[in-house]
Amino acid sequence: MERNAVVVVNTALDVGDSAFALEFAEFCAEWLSRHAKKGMKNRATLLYVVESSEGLDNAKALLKRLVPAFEKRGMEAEPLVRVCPTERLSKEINALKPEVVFLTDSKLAKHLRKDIIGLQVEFPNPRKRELRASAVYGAAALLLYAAIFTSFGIIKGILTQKSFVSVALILGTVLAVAYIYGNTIAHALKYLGIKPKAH
Amino acid sequence: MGGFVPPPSGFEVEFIDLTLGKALAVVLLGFIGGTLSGFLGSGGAFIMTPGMMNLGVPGILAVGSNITHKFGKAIVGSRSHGELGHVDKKLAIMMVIGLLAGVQAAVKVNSHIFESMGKAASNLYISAIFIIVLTAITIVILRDLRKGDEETRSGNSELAKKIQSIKLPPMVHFDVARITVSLWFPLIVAFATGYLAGTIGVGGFIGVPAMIYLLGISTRVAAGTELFLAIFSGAWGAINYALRGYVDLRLVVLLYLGSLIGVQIGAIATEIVEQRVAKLALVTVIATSDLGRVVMVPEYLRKMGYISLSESTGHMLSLISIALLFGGALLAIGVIFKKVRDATAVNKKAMATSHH
Repeated sequence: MERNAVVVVNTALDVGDSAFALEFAEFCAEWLSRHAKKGMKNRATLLYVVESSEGLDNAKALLKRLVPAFEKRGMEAEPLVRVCPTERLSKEINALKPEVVFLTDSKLAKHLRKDIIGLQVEFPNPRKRELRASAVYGAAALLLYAAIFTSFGIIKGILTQKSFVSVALILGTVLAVAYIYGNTIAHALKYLGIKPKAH
Repeated sequence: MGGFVPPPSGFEVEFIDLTLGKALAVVLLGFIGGTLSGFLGSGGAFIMTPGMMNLGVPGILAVGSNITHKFGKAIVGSRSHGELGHVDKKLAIMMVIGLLAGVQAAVKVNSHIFESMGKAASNLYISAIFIIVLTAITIVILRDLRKGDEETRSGNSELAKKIQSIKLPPMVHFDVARITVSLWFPLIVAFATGYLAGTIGVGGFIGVPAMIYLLGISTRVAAGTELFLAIFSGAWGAINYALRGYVDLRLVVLLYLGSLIGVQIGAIATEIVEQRVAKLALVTVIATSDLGRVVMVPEYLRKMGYISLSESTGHMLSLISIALLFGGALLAIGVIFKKVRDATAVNKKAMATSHH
């Protein structure tokens, strides 16, 4: 039994991050190996459509770099470069009669979604995930800061009690702020492609 | 919660009226301190504590808030810090005893001075400790810059050998640190580190060189062990100051706003800027912070009634102190950013040339 998958590489290239295509290939290969029934053979076509023959060499070179992600998992991967307008991309995909189509969550992918056949598997941009996480932690941090400053009258009353309750309040709040606000910064840095440092 | 009885007090601490301008200044202090900490490994307290004092925060409250700020950062940071793998646990456990005793003594002395003699005397005492420590560090770094690292290092290892040769029982062997030394020396180093951490919020800056130069421990193990100890000194200092009501939660969370961003920027800069520039930046910050404290001494003495100075002169001294503190820190950060920009420009130029 053979499963035919198409990896639409163009959808990984309109995010402006060259490393993203490699991450996309790793995700597709991993997904195929995890979702394979016993004895099932996966065959992936790495499809890249270029508008003119000028970009042909670069496209081939890029696809060649993606192949090892599949080969190391025991899968066959065939790079396929077509010279045609991007508008014809959905037709090129359907012509390959895919059972599974891998797309990212880019604008191009959203545009293709309604026109293509087969099971569609989306690879969300991890940087967008980081941005979302940063926003969630940021909102939580904002609420925490707002709570501290708007209710400082009550907090001050507890702090001046000089008791273990005031110690618990201070240490608990400090750890919560350091953790939540720290994560806001850490995820924002990851979104920007910077590895956060521990200090 | 009846276990703790606060000491009888004559003077009560007052939380400052936090205007928007002052709040932003605290965030800026956090950012500058964080950048320097990220860039130099530590040193944020050189700026944050005196900076808060310049904004009118009582010294004891500035120290308590800064220690609490450091504690939260150390706990969260320690989860992923690789340096924690280089801890000599036996040494660390033994040093914790001296460290906690040092912190406890510092908090008691600080509180006693504030409660019995008032804000000006407390500020004067904290400033005096700052002046002694910062002047000593400035001299050591300047000597280091003049002589070069190698010469200084070899001279100090001789001192470590001398200390290790003193056979004062009990002698203890530490496997990871690879030293055999009288237990009294690590205890003294730990007590001094704890005392300074508890008094001015700067402990590691003394503890790490002391472990390297006095005990003969490698830099990596000293740094790892100090990071481990910082969690205890931070926690103990935070608990003790909080129990006495000397932590302003607003200042702590405002410091985080700036410092957690600054730390990352500083850490990125370390990969680009060379060590000599780092040391120059550090000595600039320390020296100007030191001078800022020196300038404030007459003002504290005036407030205590020991010397007569006009109110306007006192105000002028405060302004000069602020200018020195922020000026030095911003100058250092400016130099770091300029070096980063220059290095980035050189890289871009090299890449463009290689493409051609």
